[in-house]
Amino acid sequence: MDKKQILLAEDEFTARKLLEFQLKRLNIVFDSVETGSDALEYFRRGSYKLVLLDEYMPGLNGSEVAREIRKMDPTIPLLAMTSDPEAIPRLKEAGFREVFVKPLHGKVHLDIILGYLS
Amino acid sequence: MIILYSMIIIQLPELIGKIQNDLSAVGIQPTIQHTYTDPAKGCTIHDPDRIAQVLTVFFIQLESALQGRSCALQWDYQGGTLSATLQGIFPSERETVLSRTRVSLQCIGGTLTLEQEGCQLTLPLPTIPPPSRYPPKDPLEAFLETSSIEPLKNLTGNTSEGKHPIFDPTILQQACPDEEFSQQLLEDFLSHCKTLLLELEHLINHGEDLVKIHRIAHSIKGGGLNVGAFRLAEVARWMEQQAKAGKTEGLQKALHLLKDEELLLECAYREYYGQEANPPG
Repeated sequence: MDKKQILLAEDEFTARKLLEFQLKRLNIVFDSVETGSDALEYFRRGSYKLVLLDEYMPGLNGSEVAREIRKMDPTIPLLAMTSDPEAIPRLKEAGFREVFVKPLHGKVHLDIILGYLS
Repeated sequence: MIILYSMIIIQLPELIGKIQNDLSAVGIQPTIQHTYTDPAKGCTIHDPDRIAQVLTVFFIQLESALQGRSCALQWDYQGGTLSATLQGIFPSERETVLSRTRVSLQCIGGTLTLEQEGCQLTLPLPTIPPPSRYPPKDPLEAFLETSSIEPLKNLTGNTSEGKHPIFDPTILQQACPDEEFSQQLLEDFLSHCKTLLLELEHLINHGEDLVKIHRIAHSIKGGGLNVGAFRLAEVARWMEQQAKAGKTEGLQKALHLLKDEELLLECAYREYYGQEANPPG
């Protein structure tokens, strides 16, 4: 099975479209979904180098998805996005290596993503 | 003699070390504590706004420490770059340009901890005194008074210092240089926003399901911040916080304000791109 580089889950469409645009420009191959349960389904079926999850999504949130992914693959890098700093302890506990506090202005997040992929 | 500290993004431990050394040389002992920990542990938080907040607290503390001394501190943090100038009598004159690194930030209880390259800086959060107005103000009015929303006069740019415009086109330009994509994203956001506002209106007028209101306000806030619609995002953030706190007070008023902001955003956006505004309604 071909390994895609990133699985992206973000329900807010402007953030998702912007990230998709930025990843495409960097020639990064990715799957993009809108819910936590879709992210889990894609992860079970696919193979990825990195997972980028929004925390606040309808249904399963990013932390819950991360815990499930950890059970299947304890080593895959998990990166979180949140606009709520109060969520940070929960995200750390769920096993995220990086937490990006939204909005993601600038390109620091892309540098960090590229760092993991290389 | 002038000592100029400048850096790209932040190299806080080194900067603080240099400032502390120079202050110590003239008999000032700043009360900033920092300790070293293993940099490999834990996850990294990327939050430019909070970092700016930590730096603000740090420099306010420094300014306080410098009061009555024969030196002056000027500092600024914009667009990820911190610059600080300390003027006074110091042992040497030097300029330091430091490189970009990762910074992590934690906020636990009343303390902010900033960690970088294995160095940790812990600062107490400033305490904000509770409002003592009597009679109590309308919560939305109080919010608008203290928030960074610009009064309704400018569409794009040209705002007072520290205030947000209705539409800041540079946000999308920085995120993606493709103007066609940016325009389409804005069109989609405006269209989506209208739908969300109708949903909000229904929710607020029929029982106020605060969980749903919170989710919609969160979505408008997030989208607004992404496309540079800061005023819209500010009002949505207020509504989000009210709903999260279980409060229904002011929601109706905030909804009207959101509708106004959405129309203004559309005008500002079309003005910027030289399009004719669609008549509202």
